[in-house]
Amino acid sequence: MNTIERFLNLRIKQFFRSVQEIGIPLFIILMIVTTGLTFKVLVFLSEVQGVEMAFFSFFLIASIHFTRKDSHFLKSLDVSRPLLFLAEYSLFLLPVSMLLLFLGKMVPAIYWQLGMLPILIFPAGKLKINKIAPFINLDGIPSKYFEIKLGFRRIFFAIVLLYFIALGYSFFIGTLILFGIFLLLVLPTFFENFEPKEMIVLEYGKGNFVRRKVINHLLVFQIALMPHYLMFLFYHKEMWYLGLACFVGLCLGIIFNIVYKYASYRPNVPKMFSNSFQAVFLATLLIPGFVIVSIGLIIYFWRKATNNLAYYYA
Amino acid sequence: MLEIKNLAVSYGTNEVLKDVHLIFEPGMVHGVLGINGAGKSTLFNTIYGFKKPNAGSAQFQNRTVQNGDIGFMETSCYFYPLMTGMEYLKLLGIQNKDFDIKKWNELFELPLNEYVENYSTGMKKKLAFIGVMAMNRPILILDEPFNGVDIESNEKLLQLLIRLKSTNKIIIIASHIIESLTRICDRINLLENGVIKTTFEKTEFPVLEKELKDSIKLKIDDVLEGLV
Repeated sequence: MNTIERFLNLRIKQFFRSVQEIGIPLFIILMIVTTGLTFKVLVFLSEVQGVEMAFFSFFLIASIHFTRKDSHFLKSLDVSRPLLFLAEYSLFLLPVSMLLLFLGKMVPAIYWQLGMLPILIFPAGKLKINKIAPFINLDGIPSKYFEIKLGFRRIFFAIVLLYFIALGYSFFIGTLILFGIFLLLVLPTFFENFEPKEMIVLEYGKGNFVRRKVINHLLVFQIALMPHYLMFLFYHKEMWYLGLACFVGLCLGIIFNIVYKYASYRPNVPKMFSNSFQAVFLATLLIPGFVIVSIGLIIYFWRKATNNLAYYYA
Repeated sequence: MLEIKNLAVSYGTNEVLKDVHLIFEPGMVHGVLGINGAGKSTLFNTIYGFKKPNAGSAQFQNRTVQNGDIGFMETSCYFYPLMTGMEYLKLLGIQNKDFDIKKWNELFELPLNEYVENYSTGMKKKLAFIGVMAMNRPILILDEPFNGVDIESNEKLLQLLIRLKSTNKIIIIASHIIESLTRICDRINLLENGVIKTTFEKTEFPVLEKELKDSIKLKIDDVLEGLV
């Protein structure tokens, strides 16, 4: 077995191990949900020309390639990195190509598979955003909201820029929904790091730790988003239920990220290890009719978070 | 021989390494000593090719040094999630058919069939070290190899490094623990504010230790006076 084969073998093993970690019952739910989503996307994509598939593939792989954390490790392997990336990304894209071929879409499948090729000439893991963020003074944010401080440090410009653009374009009916989806996507960035145990001990003694954390963060996030809801109602009063759906969706997103964080919490571990459930949660939240699954996930992880923290600190 | 010629590296306007010139000979352990921020890791990252220098170069056997020449153990190594220690070593040691993972692991007794994420900091360090050995490269760069490692393993590491000299490898180590460096190194380069202030030969190590202790004492005496 050469290095590339061994590397791919390891990646496939990782996939099956993560399935094992999730557990078969939840994996079946995930499969049902994502299969539905994938087919929905494919039905939509079957109407577009093949060349668009190349763009989708390009942007998807770019988002992975430029944020890779293993670029230093890969450099230590005695192997051509472009070849290794080609093999890995081809494997990653293969399931969708197979589905496209199954639907008789040969040309889009080829474009999908080849669209990522230009990425291979760029070095991996080079994207460094917000270099200036550490210079922004966020000392005014109380330490109990350290997650907000952390998230802002990472994506300050993106979030502030989009906040005001979304506010300015609130006359367009889809703006709030798109901005809400963006926030749902970036929320894990705020909550992926664990605080030192001393910080938890301090707050845990006051009781109802998870509930207080959830309420505090819901208040901060939703107060900050209030201008968006008001503008939406101003321009689209008749569609108030869409604004309400965004409000509820974001509330669920915030709650999920907090309970999932503390369900995965371990003292002395700096960062959340797996984020596979965040993808499941997001998929179930966005697919009509599946919101019940996301609520179920919140209940499940809320209990797990409470028990997990009680194990360490009760 | 690895020769660093007039190396200059900066991050933006911050000049981290200034005109560094060093020679690392095979069969010797070379220490790089310096306080936090002195430029040790930047020096290693540049030699390895992670960081592009503004000027200068690193030459190995009269050509530019390549990745394949160096086994680099970073201060904090990357490990894939859901990967066992054994898989990690097999991946790194794929080119080295003679590498006996089980035999090497007798040294540190790591649970190689467990996921690396369940390892302690010290265990990860030991695994990374075996990984570097598995690569079997002529140059070894070890950035803080003793951090987080228990006393027993620390001693094993030191004895192993002393033995490795006979393999004619170029071994370069950065550490904050001066006692570890003075014990195994044949030469120590003192890096200060991005320049090599002095290079000490083995016979001069007592001078180095005294100089360092005196300079630190001088720096903190006034502060300590007001504190304790």
